[in-house]
Amino acid sequence: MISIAVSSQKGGVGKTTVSINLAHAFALAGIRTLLIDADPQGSVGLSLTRQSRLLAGFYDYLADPSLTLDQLIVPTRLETFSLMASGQAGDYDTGGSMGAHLARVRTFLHQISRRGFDLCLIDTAAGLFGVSGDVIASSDAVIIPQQAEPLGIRSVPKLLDGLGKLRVMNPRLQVLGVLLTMVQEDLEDSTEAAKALRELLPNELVFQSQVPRDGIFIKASARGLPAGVMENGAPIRKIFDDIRSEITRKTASPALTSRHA
Amino acid sequence: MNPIDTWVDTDEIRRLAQRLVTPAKQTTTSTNESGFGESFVGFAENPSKTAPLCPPVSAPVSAPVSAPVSTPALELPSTHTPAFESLANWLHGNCAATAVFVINLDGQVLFDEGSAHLHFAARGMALNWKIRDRVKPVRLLVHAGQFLELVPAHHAQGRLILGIVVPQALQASTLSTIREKIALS
Repeated sequence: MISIAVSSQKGGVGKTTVSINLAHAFALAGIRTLLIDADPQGSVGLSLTRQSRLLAGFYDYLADPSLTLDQLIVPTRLETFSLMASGQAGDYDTGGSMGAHLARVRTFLHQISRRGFDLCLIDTAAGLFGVSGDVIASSDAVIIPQQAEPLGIRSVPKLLDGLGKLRVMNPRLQVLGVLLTMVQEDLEDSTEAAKALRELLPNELVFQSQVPRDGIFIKASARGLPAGVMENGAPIRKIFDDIRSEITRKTASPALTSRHA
Repeated sequence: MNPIDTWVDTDEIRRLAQRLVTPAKQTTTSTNESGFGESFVGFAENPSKTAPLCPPVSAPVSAPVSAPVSTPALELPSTHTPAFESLANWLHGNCAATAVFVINLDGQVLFDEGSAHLHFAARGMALNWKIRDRVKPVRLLVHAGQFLELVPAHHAQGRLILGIVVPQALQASTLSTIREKIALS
């Protein structure tokens, strides 16, 4: 199994959208995928399950060692796609000391890996501290969605610095790269910002594919579905399948080799 | 003009980015770096593949190679420094501590009762997250009903970090007493 955190310094950059649709792309490719909502706002759960407010989840696991994974993993209609909600435990804020839950998160991932999943994709809360930091410091790799607009790029230095520190704590952490999101081809400021970031960062640190701003994501969220399964969702499905291919190539992980190939 | 030049220091970004695409420095298991001291003779896994570190003058007492290894091979020889012995005894008796260790800010183990697997967490926090500058302890839930408290404290040898595994969070008054005892150790 490979564990991949989807994280960012800044909020509102599309982490949850990326997580849901990327997990769906892997699951469609036959990769046994578990999508974990590690954001206390519960965005994944709110997007994909109507009962998310009732479900126990990731934060409950951190708080209560007696919980078993069977009580937390939610299957979907796609056999290879399972979810875990963020849960009900309310005393876990996203700030606080780094490392406070490190051992528990690592135990969690170890147990998940023994359940036969190929991929554990974790949608974290914004920021590289607290539980989000512990998740990154326990994962094999991290993807960084980054909104393609000049102001958002101001957070990039802090993001890179934070990831550098986390790699000291977790030397095996592979930074898969910045994934540009909400790209607006018809808006010069957006395309220029995307272009400038690509010129600034090493090639291997920016995904070739990028996610457009598209109303289909909002419609899909309203219906509790990944955008790729919507009517007219084929272009979005293609984009996330391309991102999936990039990740598979970058990680070279046997766990991510498509079973449909 | 590049539209983001006015927002960020591009040279700084390039430097930080380059650091992320180069392989991270792996933790080695050399005796000095790992902080286990010269008495550390290596991990017990794959004994048939591991060359001895030096001529076999004092090979570790171990089970036959064919015998199954039932426990993780990270249990290391205990490091007992008399100066911290009495402190550890006090912690066992008064705080129900189940493990005690002391490291310095370089990650060197000064006292240990066999909690090697916890050193890595303590070292990582001490070296990377500046708990050296903290006053309050850092608390980690390491198991159900077990907390690792990392207590930065002053000592004749400089700033040290005391690691204690306890069943419940320590009170401020207890922490104060512990710091006094460390200073006197």
